[in-house]
Amino acid sequence: MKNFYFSVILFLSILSGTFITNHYIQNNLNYYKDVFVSVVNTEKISETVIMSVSRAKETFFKQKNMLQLFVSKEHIKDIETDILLIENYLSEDQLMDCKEKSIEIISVINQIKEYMSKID
Amino acid sequence: MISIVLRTTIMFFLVMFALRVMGKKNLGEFQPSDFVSTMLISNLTSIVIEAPELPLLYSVVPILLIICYEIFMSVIAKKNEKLAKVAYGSPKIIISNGIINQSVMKTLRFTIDDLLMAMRSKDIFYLEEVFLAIVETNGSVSIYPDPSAKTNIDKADIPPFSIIVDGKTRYNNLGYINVTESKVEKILEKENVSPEDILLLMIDGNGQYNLSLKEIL
Repeated sequence: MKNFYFSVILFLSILSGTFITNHYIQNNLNYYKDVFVSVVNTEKISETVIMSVSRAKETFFKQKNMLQLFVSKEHIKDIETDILLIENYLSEDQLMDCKEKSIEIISVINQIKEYMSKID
Repeated sequence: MISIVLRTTIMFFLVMFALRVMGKKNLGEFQPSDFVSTMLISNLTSIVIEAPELPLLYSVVPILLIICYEIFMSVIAKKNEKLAKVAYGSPKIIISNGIINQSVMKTLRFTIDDLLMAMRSKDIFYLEEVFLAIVETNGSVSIYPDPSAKTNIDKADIPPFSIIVDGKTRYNNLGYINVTESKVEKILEKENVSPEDILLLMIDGNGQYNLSLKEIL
């Protein structure tokens, strides 16, 4: 019976843990998506865009290790490279390249979200 | 993560169901849930080993979940006999008093060769020697020999070989027991049966035979 109670606790921990991590990752991904959607929709590079991208970069680098526990390392690396490139393009005033890379990040995020939610 | 949990749950019960449908003899020495768990865990382990870009949790979480299901199944089976039957099945008597239970054989999809192999592995070569043969839930066959067989059966130097199995003749076995085809035909004539009606005909070195006819199921 000891094993049974242990497995019940483990099972409930797994369920609650997955719900919590799912919620956490979805929230973070939505945040990054919003930032890069705003870059795609922007008409010209403004201080607000630069600030929001730099904040997203900082947050991403802080969360990177944590995210790697739940998301494929390849996806994390793709996002990381694209964020750095976007920041660089923003400083060089290359809006079209920024938009291109933002679309790439959005598609990676969508891919991750799809993997996380699909069961079929 | 939720998708991993749901996928593991679906796969566990799906493979479990598939094994129950496939029959006991595919299990070897495992119980169905043990087999499913072992199979899934070995595959899950290889996923992260082969793909280092994937997080370790992709394998760890499903493995822990399978362990939970495995323990749940065993506890539930212990508490509820009906559920235990659904999950693990129940032992089935396949030979009783030397007579093969053909409906059980059909249900378990056991062949005559499976049965003969199980008997031989217990050093039993005559069907009459078997008092009870039980197919256990793990697919193994337990045999209780007939206590009176030692005195009742006049054993030949050469053990019996299967000559007709499920309506098909195996005349190449005749060479081992020094019996000719005409002798077999005489037996069939005497018993007034055609090979198609026979489930099993075994003949030993002394020419003694055991005939089991097919039942209409």
